[in-house]
Amino acid sequence: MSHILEEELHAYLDQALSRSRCVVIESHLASCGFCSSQRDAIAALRDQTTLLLGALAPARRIPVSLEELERRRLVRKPRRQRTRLALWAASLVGALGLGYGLRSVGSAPHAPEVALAPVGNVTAEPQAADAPGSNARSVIPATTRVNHRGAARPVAIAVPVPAPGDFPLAHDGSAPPSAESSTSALPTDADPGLQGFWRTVPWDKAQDVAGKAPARIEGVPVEEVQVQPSRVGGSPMMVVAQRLSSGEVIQTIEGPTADVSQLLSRRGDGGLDSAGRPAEAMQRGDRMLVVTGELPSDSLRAMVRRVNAAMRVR
Amino acid sequence: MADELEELYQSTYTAVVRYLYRKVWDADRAEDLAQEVFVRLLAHRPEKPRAWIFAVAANLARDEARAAIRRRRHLVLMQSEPGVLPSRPRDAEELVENDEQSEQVKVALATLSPRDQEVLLLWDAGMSYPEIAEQSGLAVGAIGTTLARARRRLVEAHERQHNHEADVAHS
Repeated sequence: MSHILEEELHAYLDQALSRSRCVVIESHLASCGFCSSQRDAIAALRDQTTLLLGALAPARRIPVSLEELERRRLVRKPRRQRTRLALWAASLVGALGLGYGLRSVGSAPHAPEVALAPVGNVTAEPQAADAPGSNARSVIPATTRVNHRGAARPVAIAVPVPAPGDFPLAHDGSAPPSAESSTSALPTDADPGLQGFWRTVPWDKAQDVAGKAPARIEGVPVEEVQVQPSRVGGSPMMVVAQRLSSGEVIQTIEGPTADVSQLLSRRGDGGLDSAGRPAEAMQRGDRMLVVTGELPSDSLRAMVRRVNAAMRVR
Repeated sequence: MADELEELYQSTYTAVVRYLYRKVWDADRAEDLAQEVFVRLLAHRPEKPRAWIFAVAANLARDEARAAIRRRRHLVLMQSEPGVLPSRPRDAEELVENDEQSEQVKVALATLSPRDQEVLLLWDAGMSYPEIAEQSGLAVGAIGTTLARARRRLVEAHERQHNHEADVAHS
């Protein structure tokens, strides 16, 4: 009998041959030294391949339960229904946009800025923000930090504000912001790190306030822009919230490194993941650019680069 | 049926994540896609679930690769970024060694033809020759030949890569 082909020995070792064929091969191997050594070499090659591919395995995590996947399936709407809903929403947005555009043709060139609120004693935990004497809270831009996908924890930073009437709230999470803008002095007892005002402005006014177009992800609708004057002078710190088509809100924070670092460190998780690693950020000179959101870190990093590249072009 | 699915999920999930990871090179994304595969499995309940799972996983990985190409088009516009902060502290020697090792294997795997890669990864995911043949479009008889070639080339490419990096380290 001639020698056994190499590919057949592979199939033999992979237990992919019929029982009868295996018997033929085994009796040949018992009497043929050449094929026997070939089999050993292929077995070693096979083991080595398994070992090499084993180096390309992600860290093992506990999988979510099948019940959880079933629950996700059930909450999903059928695709046809989703498409119909999306078309309906798109037409509604289009109609509203058209109406707004027609209305703005005859109106003043600049709508008033929205609101202004002081930010002081910023703390990570909302309950810790109950400073003596304060009787109201404002919520400054919340962040979402991802350790790995699915483990994101939205963190709202609550800050004490003076009694209603002294300052309008920038964003209290329940009522729409006021259409009037106002200015106020810095609170004297505010935390030295984040004294100042968070100002919610419409996108078309943000550029005037900042003196330049705020850093953002091109092509993604802007939900709101919040501005805080820099405590070290120069351009202010800006937080641009944008909603991706998938529903996740991404925040792009750009400002003086000291201010941005302080904001991140005061955001409950401090912009750090469980291992204490920094947020997806980029530093240029004394300015820092950070993108946070419920996305994998690779995606956030890519967004930081995109935003940075866009800013270089501007 | 529920028990069968549960058993299949328990026995296959890790292999699917590993298979996807070797296609998208992002552990979080691989987990997401693997979960998506099983959500679809629950909706479709195919006759041959195991083969179906890997076929859907391959399709999702292909879609992901297309999306990655679109993202890369944006990244091409980027210039040097001297101020990028490290997002992963890599000071542990062990981490570095593991990274180097997996990078070498990754490079070696990339030298294989797409078909050889696919067959090798499906085999490593525990699929049988007929299942691999069904998914790859090859004849069952050709799987052994393809696997033989893929294994040999992977090991050779890895040795070349390893020797090259050793030479660079010495010089």
